[in-house]
Amino acid sequence: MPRLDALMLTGRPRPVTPAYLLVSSTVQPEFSAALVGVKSPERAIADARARLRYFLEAIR
Amino acid sequence: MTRREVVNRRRGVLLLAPTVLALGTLTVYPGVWVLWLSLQHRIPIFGVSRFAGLDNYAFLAVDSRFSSAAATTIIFTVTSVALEVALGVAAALAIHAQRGGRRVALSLLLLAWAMPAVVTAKLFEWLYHPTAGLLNVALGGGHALNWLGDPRLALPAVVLADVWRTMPFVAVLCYARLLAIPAELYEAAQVDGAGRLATLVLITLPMLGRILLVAILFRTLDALRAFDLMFVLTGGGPAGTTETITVYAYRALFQTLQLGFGSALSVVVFVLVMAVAWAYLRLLRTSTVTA
Repeated sequence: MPRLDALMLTGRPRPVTPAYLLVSSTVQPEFSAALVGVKSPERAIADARARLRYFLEAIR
Repeated sequence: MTRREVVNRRRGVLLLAPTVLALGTLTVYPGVWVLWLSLQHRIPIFGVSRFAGLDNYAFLAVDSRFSSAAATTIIFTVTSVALEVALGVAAALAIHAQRGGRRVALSLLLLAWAMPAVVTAKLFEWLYHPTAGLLNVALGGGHALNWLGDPRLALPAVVLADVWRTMPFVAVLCYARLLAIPAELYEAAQVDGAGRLATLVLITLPMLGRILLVAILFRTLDALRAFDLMFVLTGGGPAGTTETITVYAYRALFQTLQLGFGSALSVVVFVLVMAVAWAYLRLLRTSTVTA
């Protein structure tokens, strides 16, 4: 319990921003693709970035 | 126009009205609304709502996730429909050739088809389970295949589940047609000395032609919109390898609430399905004329 208490004080709940879901669901499949080797990590990051740019542009 | 004709016509319009009204409110209105949404940036949780023109479509043209989803949709449709038709015809022929047990065979086939897709998906989820699944146990231990987790196996696994589920639909349609082929045709073929293979290729398969076209039409349209099996089995994963356009549309529409972008995806599915339906119907019409 004391340990948990320390965690509680420093921890933060996951969706700290309403954009969390948008970013997470965009990035997750790309990271997963890089992890299992469907895409190269560079390609995955580039794809995630292109998509995020368009999505985040829309909510501005 | 005589009085009688006027009354008749008025009654006709009156009787048609409920159908037109129902179709209008349930399909035309939402359809037009989705088309309108797809031309906007609209994300309610951020209070975004502004006209975007064709931006969403322009982005789809360069979006790698969309092209991957489109490829998955096409591969899924072509392989599952081809396998379903081949196995369906084979099953229909096998049942037709049988003397006893036809009813049992038909009921068993229909059972697979009548099951809700989600139940089928859950069933296959257990069959495919990496350690406890029947499939891996049957293949023998040692090499536990991760059917739904391996990016190379996931799509074939989903196709297999779909084939198991909808092959009976094709089989039952073909079986009904087989029963309607006049026996004289077979007798004539026998008199002419046609072998079993010649009879199958020259009589049975051509007689199945029209009904097969209808079965393929239904199955293709369903497969292009496929959602439930992959959603339950893999959720579009691993790494998006089983994500169809409809799954992508669902994620955008209901998970991240990008109503505009998600609508653009739905419109693409709609156009795809309509184009295929139109092509098939043309084919069906010309084959009616020649037959």
